[in-house]
Order: sequence, then structure tokens, then C-alpha cells
Amino acid sequence: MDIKIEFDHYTLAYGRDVVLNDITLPVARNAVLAVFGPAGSGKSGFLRSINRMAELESNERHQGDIRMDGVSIFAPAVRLPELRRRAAMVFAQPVALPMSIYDNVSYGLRLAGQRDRRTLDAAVERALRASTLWDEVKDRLDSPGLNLSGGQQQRLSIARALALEPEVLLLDAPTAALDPISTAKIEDMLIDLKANYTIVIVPHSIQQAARVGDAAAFFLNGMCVEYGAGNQLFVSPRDKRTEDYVTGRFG
Amino acid sequence: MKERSISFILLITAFGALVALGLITYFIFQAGVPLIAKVGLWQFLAGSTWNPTAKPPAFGILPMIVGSLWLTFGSLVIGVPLGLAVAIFMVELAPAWLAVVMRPAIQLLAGIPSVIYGFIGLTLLAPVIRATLGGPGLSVLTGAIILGFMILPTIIAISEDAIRAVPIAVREGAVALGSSHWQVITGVLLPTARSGIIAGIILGMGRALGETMAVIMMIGNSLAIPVSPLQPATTLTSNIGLEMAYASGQHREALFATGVVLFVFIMILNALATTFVRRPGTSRRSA
Amino acid sequence: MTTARTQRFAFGCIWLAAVFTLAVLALVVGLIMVRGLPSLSIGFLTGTPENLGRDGGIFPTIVGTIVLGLVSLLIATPLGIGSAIYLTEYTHESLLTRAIRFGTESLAGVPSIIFGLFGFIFFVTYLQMGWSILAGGLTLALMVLPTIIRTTEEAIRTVPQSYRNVSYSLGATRWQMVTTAVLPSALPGIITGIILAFGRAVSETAAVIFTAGTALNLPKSVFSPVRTMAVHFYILAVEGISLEKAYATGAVLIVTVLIINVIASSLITRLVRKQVRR
Ligand SMILES: Nc1ncnc2c1ncn2[C@@H]1O[C@H](COP(=O)(O)OP(=O)(O)O)[C@@H](O)[C@H]1O
Ligand SMILES: [Mg+2]
Repeated sequence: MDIKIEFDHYTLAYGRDVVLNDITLPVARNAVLAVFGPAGSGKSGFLRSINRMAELESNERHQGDIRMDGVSIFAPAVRLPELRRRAAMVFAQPVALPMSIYDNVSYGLRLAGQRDRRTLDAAVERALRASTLWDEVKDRLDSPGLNLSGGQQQRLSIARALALEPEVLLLDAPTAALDPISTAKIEDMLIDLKANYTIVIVPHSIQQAARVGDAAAFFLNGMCVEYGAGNQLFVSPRDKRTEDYVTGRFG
Repeated sequence: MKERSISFILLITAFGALVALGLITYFIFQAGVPLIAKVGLWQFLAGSTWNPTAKPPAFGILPMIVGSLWLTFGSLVIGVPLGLAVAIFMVELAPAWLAVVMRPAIQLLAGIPSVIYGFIGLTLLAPVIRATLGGPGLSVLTGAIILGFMILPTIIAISEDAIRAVPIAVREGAVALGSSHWQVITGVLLPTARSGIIAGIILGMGRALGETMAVIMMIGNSLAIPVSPLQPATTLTSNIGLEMAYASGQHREALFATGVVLFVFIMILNALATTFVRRPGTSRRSA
Repeated sequence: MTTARTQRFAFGCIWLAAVFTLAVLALVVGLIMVRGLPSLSIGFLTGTPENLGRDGGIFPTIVGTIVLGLVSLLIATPLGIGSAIYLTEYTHESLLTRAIRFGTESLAGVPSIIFGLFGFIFFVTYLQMGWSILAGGLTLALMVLPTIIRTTEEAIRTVPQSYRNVSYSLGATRWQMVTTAVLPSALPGIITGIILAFGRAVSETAAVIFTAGTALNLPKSVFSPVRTMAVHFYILAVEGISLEKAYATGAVLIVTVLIINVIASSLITRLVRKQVRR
């Protein structure tokens, strides 16, 4: 397996709350890893560790290591803004910043200091095409992002992340707040995207995990109970707890 | 590196208010305390004669302390019931359209310059008081009534916040027990909001105690200790405001000494108010 | 049915109190306007005062008011916004923030006459600025600082946390996050605070009269003394110079305060809409 990200005995705590407990896990390059489990099991903590957003909590502590392309993301030479541009994140709630569609999509690039209008134009178009939003908004790029529907805003959020040409996409329940049609659009998009990106997604259902994941990890109480490639976790789980959860007997 | 210097600059600006408070405290005390030390604290506070230009001069500020107390408590008699009633009205009774009108109106009440209020007291209320109740008109009563209105916005804003902050569940619990609306207000809302309301009253008190120019215009500025609300008086603030214009030497020092006393009173009130507001610094509207 | 009767009586009283309060406000505003408007004219606004203000206009006091207000905002706005940003975005609650908050709260409660005394002894005398726009502006700046800090803090706190998360997740530094995600959304609230602070500066008398002076000339520099409208109004009324001119000046003051209040309360909606359109 070609490994993009590697968790190595990684433990994360907010104050006294242990969010992730001794996680050791590979994330394969140009594939989709689905991280699922009950609420509070540490899925968001897992994602937010990869781009070091977890450190925004004042009482965050961690042990162990996470490596991207073999290099520790905690190495002193790592610049946080750059790490977050390499591993861009999309949240469960669609967020259109109060600015135009164009400014939303080009936001990350402008933060990085990109001022060249043609470069920005090209990046905006490419990102919007990739997130399948281009045809819907190409005539009104100057209108406010807040005017878009929820599903469109979420694809806008994805476009905003894609515009950075990241290596990794971190998607924290990106379809949790969406209707089935928007959800299907985004799932289709993921299949196309994984040719170029490493994707870690928290699916909003077990079905979605099975549909989009090239590999899956089941989290419970901050621990990775089981990790498996393909549909293994859903077809033939090895751990009793995984089996209970995927068959809906979890309680 | 840029981030670090920005963070440092912001830290410096954050100290602005604290530094200002420190400077104010230091310079007021430095200018006023020597005279208090010379006269003696007790003589200064309890002396009933203020004659700073006589030989020998007399520096007793009891008349001003008494005047300030009269005026402050008088204004509370007007301002507290009215302010509480308006706050209850705005949260509980006002139809939506009227609530929409009330809010900017109260804000305007707070925005009108105090000299305008003083002027209304001087030209409108004082003659009425003189004609109906007797006395010179320019009096504690005139000042207290107008000041009562001047502190309304403070009392209303903070009480309103406090009443609004009562959790819906608390209110619904009382309604479920079959209480009438008025019983909910008196039995649940006001007691639950009590500390906020008290904080509002204390801050209103601070405003009344600190008001200067309007008081000068309304109170008659007599150095005799008032024994009736219809008599003129002078206050800590009005005396400073009036005499600073021409005072020099020891006289000026005595005015700063009066400022020290006022400052200490106000700080005590502020400290009291903060202890009554559970979360200082949040959601208190600036009046 | 005594509870029903009690309630009806109590609610009657409360309605009365509310109507009474509005009536008093209307009376104050109405009286000054009715008595002041007749003597208002362009000449009054643009003319220079003569005979201590008994005749002529109030032009220098209008200039004095605006200049003093602007100077105070020029000083207080960066300080206040910086302070609010630090408290909300750069630090967690600690002993330090509690001390800073205590300073802000206390400063807000300091009466204006104390500011006047302080400004006189510190800026006018100790720093030898004399009665001047600079001394008055600095004094006023300290006075309105808490207003700006508080309104900015409140405006910043209403910005959705998700904006900050999005900004950080796309590689923003803290300062970039503040300037691109927080401040634009908080702007209407911040501007409202600045306008309210200007209103306080316009209304102020006690802190101004001992620091900026009472000179009736047009100022030549920031070291010139000025007289503001509020101070002029006070002097006209208290020294019995001219009741007619006092009413007219009062009317201008009230109109100014009205305009400031209307702008402050309408600005929020207007700016929010504009922000969406951009
Ligand atoms: N800011 C925080 N402070 C303290 N505990 C937190 C914080 N955020 C999340 N947690 C705790 O961390 C655990 C895992 O949270 P999270 O990663 O968000 O779970 P999931 O995304 O799987 O629902 C939960 O028990 C939650 O209570
Ligand atoms: Mg989560």
C-alpha cells in the first residue's frame, strides 16, 4: 500500500477528555478512507489532528506522531498555514463566508498571497468544475455565496478547499446537513476526486461509508476498533463491536 | 515574525483602559491627597464649612456629601420604579411595534446631552416647583426628578437584559403551575433577575452621583446643608464643576481632594455592581 | 378574582410608566425644538458669535465639536478595537483578561467630571498642552474607550465560530483570520459603537470644559482651545447670556444627537445588506 498519512501511537486529549487513544493507522494515497462510529467516538478529532486544527483548543495535548509523506506534521519546520493548505478541510455545516462566490472560492489562495487575477480566475473555474458547481454559478460569480442553497453552499465549501490544490481532503460529515440529491452529487464527485487526492471522510451513515470508502476505520470511545480495506468491515467484520454497530445492533 | 509583532501590539492596546484608569487614579490622588492629609480626613469629610478663600480657609465637604446623597437617593426614588416598570414593559407587555419604538427611544434618552436635561430642569421644572410647592425652585427635588430620568436608560438597559436572560424553562415552569402573568413576573422573573437589576440600580446610582453640569444648573448651589427637598444644595460634583473655573492654589487642591472622595465612592459602587453581575464584561449594553 | 384585579392594576401602572417615559422624552425634545427652531437659520449655523454669543451664530462651536469628536475617535478607535480583538481572539480568560476587563468596566463608570479633573491636571498642566483640542480630544478618547471596546467585543462575539474554522482550515494565520473572517462581519457593530462614542463626545460638557477650554475663536491647530456646542449651550444658559440663543443651540445639539442615533440604529441593517451584496 502506498501510504500518504500515517498515525503512529497517536493520542489526543482536550484537558482531561481523551479524544483519541493510541491510534495507529495508515491512510492510503489517492484513496478514500471512511472513518465512522457513534457520536463522540473521536472522528472529528481524528480529522482535526491531520491539519492540526485540534491545537486551536487551548487545553489540547497530544502524544505519538502523525506523518505525512513520511515526515512528522509536528516537526518544528512545519508551517501550520502550509500544512492546512496541503490538507484542506470541509465541515458538516456548509459555510459560505459573507463574500461573493468568487471570493469564497479564491479565499484560500488569497490567504496564501496569490494576487494574480488570471491565476485566481483559472483556479476558481477549475475548483468549481471539480465540485460540479460551475454550470450553476458561472454567470453569477459576483453574487454573494450566502444566496446559494445548502447543497450548493456545501459544494462551494468543497470548491474552496479544492482551489488550494491540496494533497489531502478532510471531509467531516460533508453531507450530514444535505438532501439526498445534493448528497448523491457530492458522493459522485468524491469518486472522481480520488484520482488526484487522498480523502478522509466521516460519512454520515454506514451506507455512505460502504459506498464511498476504499478502506474504512471503525472508531469507538477514541479507539480505532477495526480497520479494513474495501468492504471488509461491512461484509465480514472481525470485531464483535464493529459487527454490532454495522448491523444496527449497537446500543 | 509579523504575527508576533501584531500580537504584541494588540496586547499593548489591550492595556489601554487599565493604564488610563491607573493614570487617572494616580494623578487625581496625587493632586488631592496632600490637602486631605493637611486638613485631616475627618475634618475634611465631616466639616460643615466650606470657605476655601477665607483666612484661614475652611475645607469641610459635609454639605456636598449630604447634597450628593439627597440627590442620588432622590433620583433613585424616581428612576428605579419607573425604570423597572419600563423594563418589564419592554420584555413582557409591549406589543411588538411598540417595543420596536421603545428601544431607540430609550437610546435617545441616553444620548441627549446632560446639559439639555439641566436646562429643562432650570427653565421648565424649577418654576413649576416654585409655584406649586414653594421654595426657590432650584432645589434638591428639581434635581432629583430630572436626574431620575437621566439614569433611566442605565436602569432600563441592564434590568431588561437581566429579565430577558431568565431561562424560558423557569418561566414555563411557573406558567404550568397556573400562575397569572403578573404572578410570573413578580414571583419568578424579578427574583431570578434580581442580581442584574440590582447591578443596574447601582450603576444608575453611580451615574446620578457623578453627574455634574446638569446638577449645577438645577440645584441652586447653596453651601448650606439642606433639610428639605425644596431647599437648594450643592454636591461633590457641582462644587468641583463650579469652582474649578477660577480656583487656584490650595483651593484647587481642595477641589481635587473632593474629586478623590467622589472617585472612591464611585469605585465602591462599581465594585458592588460587578459583584452583582454574574458575568462581568458580557452582554452588558453600554448606556 | 383578586389576582385578576391585581394584575389589571399592575399592568395599568406599567403601561402608564412606559407612556409617561415616552411622553417625557417627547416633551424634552419637543420643547427644545419648538423654542429653538424659530431662531435657527443658515446664518446661525455659519456665523461667528458676537457679544459672547448674545448675537451672531455658532459656527466655531460646530467646528469645535466635530474636530474634538474626531480627534478623540482617532485615538480611541484603534486602541478600542485592538483591545477588543486581543480580548476575544488572542487570549483565553485569565487573570490578565480579568484585570483588563476590570479596567474597562471601571473606566466606564468614572464620572466625566473626574475625566475633566484628570485631563486638566495631566494633559493641560503636566504635559503642558494647555486648553486645547489635543488635551480635550485625549481626555474624551479615554472616556469613550470603554464604549468602543465593549461594542467591538460584542460585535466580534456574534461572528459565527464556523467562519473562524473555515479561515483557519484554509491556512489563515490568526491575524489573517481576524482581518478576513471576523472583522468584515463585525464591522456594522463596530461602526455603531464608534458612532455612539462620537455621540458621547458631542454631548459631553464637564470633561471638555476644563480640557479644551471655552474659546470662541476658530481653532488654528490641535493646540488651539475650542468651545463645543454643548459647552456653549451650557454657558449661554447658566450665565444668562441669551435664552433665545440657548434654545437655538440646544435645537442644533438635539438634531445632531438625533441624527447620530438614527444613523447608529439604521446602519446595522444597511451594512449587513451591503455585505451580502459584495
Ligand atoms: N472542545 C472540546 N473540549 C473538550 N472535549 C471535547 C471537545 N470537542 C470534543 N470533545 C470530546 O471529544 C470526544 C470526541 O469528539 P469528536 O471527535 O467531536 O467526536 P465525533 O466527531 O466522533 O462525534 C467527545 O467525547 C467530545 O465530548
Ligand atoms: Mg464530529
